[in-house]
Amino acid sequence: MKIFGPKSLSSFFYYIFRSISIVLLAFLSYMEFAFVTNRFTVQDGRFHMKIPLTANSIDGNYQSSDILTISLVLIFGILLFYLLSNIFKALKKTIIFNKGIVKNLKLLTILNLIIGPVLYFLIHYPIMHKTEFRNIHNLILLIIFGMISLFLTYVFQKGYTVQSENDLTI
Amino acid sequence: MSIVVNLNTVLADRNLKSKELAEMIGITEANLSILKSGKAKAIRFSTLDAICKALDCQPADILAYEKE
Repeated sequence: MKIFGPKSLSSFFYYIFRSISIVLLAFLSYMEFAFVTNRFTVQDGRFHMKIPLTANSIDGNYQSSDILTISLVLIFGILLFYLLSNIFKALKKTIIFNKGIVKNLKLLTILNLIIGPVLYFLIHYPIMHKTEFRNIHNLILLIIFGMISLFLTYVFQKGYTVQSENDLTI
Repeated sequence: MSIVVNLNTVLADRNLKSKELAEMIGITEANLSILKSGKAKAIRFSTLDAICKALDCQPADILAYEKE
């Protein structure tokens, strides 16, 4: 199977990641709608919300901090999968060194190296009021992912320059 | 860039149109237009060879260096 170009593995991943981002967006929208319209039950300080068309449910402490955390993490997830889908969309093209991939890789780097860690500390301390430093692997993974993305941005930037020069060689 | 393409002058001297030259040297009109406008980043020796052959000229007749 081809890796790049139309009808390739990139095309397959584009549809997968775009679907995940749409599902997450629908999930977030439903959750916010359910909270606003009181479509949930509260028992022993925990909320219980059924997910339509599935046997699953969302449970959590009925506190603004928990709800805000879930919402923020979902927004981060939507952005992450949306950007990943955009990257694979750019890789679907015949010429993979294009402006689209450089732009989306830059945004992915910002998301992982800046927004992700800021969100992590925001959730950890001001929102959840945690005293100990936990789940550090999430932060490490974000930074590793961000660094890979940063290097890939520069590789594709260089590739785009070479491609442009090649296209303008008569 | 300091390299100037004087293809228009040479074409006018030979009473040739861009379309005719493009056909003679086997490149597209669009690419020839890029070359004439100075937007090209590089020129292949094979293209230069074909242009010189078609126009019966020297590379220096087509390309010139001008200080910026």
